[in-house]
Amino acid sequence: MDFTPDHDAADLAAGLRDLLSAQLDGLALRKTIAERGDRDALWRALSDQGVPAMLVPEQFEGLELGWSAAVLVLEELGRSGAPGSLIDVLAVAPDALAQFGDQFGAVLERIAEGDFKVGVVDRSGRVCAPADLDALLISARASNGKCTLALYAIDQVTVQSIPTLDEGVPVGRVVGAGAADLQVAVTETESERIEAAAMLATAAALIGVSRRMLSITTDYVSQRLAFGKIIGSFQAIQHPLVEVALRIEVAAPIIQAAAWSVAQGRADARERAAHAKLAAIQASSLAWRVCLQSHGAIGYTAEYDLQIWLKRSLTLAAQHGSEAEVRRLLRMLMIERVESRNLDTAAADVDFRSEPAKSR
Amino acid sequence: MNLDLTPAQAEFLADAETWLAANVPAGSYAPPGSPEDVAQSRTWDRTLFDAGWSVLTWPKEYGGRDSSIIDWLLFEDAYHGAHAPYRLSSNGISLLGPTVMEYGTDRQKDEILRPMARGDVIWAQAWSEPGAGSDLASVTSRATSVAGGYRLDGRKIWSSHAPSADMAFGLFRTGAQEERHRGLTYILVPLDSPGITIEPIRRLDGLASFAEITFDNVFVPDDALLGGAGQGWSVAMATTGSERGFALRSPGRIVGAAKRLEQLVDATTLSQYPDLVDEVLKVNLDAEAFRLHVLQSVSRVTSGASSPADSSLEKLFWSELEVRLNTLALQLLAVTEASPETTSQWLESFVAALPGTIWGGTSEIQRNIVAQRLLKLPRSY
Repeated sequence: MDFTPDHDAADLAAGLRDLLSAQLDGLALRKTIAERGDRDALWRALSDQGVPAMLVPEQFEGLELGWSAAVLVLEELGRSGAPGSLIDVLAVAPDALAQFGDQFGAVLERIAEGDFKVGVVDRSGRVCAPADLDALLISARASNGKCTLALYAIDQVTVQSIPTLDEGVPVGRVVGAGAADLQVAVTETESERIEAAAMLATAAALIGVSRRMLSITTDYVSQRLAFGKIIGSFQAIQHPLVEVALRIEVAAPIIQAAAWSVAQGRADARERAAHAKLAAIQASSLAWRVCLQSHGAIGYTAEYDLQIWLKRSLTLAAQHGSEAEVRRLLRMLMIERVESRNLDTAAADVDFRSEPAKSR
Repeated sequence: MNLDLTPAQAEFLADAETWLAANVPAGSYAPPGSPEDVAQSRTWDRTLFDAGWSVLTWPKEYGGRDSSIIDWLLFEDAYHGAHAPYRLSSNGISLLGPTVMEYGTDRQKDEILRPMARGDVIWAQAWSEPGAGSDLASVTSRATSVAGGYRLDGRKIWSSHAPSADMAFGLFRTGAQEERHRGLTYILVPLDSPGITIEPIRRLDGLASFAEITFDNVFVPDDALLGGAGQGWSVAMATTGSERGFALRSPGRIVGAAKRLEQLVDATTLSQYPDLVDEVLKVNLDAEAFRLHVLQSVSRVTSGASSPADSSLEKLFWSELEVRLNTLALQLLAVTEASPETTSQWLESFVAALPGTIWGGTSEIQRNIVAQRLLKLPRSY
């Protein structure tokens, strides 16, 4: 048992943070949200660093960095406010496709090179920023229970826009599809793996989003004066922010543990990933609420940047496992455990009724 | 990163579980703080010590095994999984022991550590006063220099285990009151010294598990000082460091209690009380979250990259979680059929959990510390 982080992964994430800062800090972020050309430039900068190859297996020209590194990269993407569907394109899609390398090898090679952007439709039929994508991955379950994973060229899919607040990540719902380019049969285990990776990826990005909201807010309350004092010196301001920090710090190792479990293909990967998503959602919902309140009216304006990450929290919390969905999954897994234990206990009662129970 | 046990860790854990299964006393325990409880506790400490389980991370010369913190965490999991008894020696072992190792003279180490670990000498903490709790630097109990030592006068309160302890460790003022934390000295004192009165205080369930200690012209020799005169604050902060250090935030107790909580969920709860099932789920997830966070802190400390607020964040998290967990147990017991014995154990556990958010720095003090050290916000008081 050893929780030592991967230092190479941490260095990689720090390098990416610098790159994203250079690309997006200040007014550049708003311009990138608004202009396709700026988003393409951001994509080229990421491709030059090999980021699209991070989860592509080496046999398909990828870097195969693994999920422990990927979650740190995704956290940086969340922190940066980068718009679009980067989480799906850089992590969820390559990981899903890599489960079927025999069929999707050529696609993976194009992803690794940075010239093919594949998005992922989540279980509720939602997809992020479809306009920037080249292709879409759709999981489907037929009436006979058989699951498939299919890759569609983006022009083969009809997407209806869903109203959202987050200008950075337009969301659509898939309402029709033509012919798939490629389609594979997926086992239950493989389907759960894809679901786990998607929950994990959005959880990691959400933590970055929450950290950014917290740092914007600690900066603000450290300089804002009221009643002749820095408002950050008031416990009424400090203690709610400490709860935000606590929820973020608690979520981070859950995400690391889930990343390990997903990478190792463990049986508990889906439960750990759902826990990671839930913890990240709880941290981000508390973060945007407390951070907004700590700013007073300025935080409610379009001009001030907090709103960018506040809205992104809502997008990421809903995508690939909303709070209700991950709670439902975790509840179901616990109930299965309790019911199987109760059955065991009932059997034990019959077999060993004469044995005195150990009292303590 | 590896969440699996190494073969050596698995073997160590199996050894611990085997030993505990054979040695944890069967049957119910005497009420905490009763004379029978004190005798049982000393015997249990001796049993642990003789088998090398009492103070795993301590050096071998003081009865430990020089174990890694991870091995100690595994032992804690096994200990609480086996529902082994609470130890009266824990104040001394967790708070004073590490401080003696850091600041004690060789003679103090030899005289204090092994008897502490073996349950021969039970230690009580004498820090808080009627007028000094969270604001510890305002203590007024005095140590006045006299020939060959010091004379102690004043009152200490909320002293855990003082009704049954042999010795106390505390902070006394040797300088001026205005000097606050700079005028304090750390002193070790036998509780049977002439001039000491111990007035047990009954906690809310009526058990006398803590006490007020009055010092009236109590003599202690020079070698009763731990660290130098006037150095008490930094010595004591080393102790609070270890108090919020790993000794008192091992996840074993919380994880063990969360597992027992899940066992209270029966078919009736599942079908009739979905709200309670959800609350049990939340507590279980938080217990696992706490375990993972401590594992992360251990790896940070081991690699010399500890975060300045980890101990305060974890104290906040486990103490609030433990209150939630035990409150939830009472809610479950109200709708399920549990044995009187199980119910009593949860009542005891509930009462024991309540002061967790108060001792060792209240939740409010911990939040102040996190605000300053992690969020870099200005001091609020």
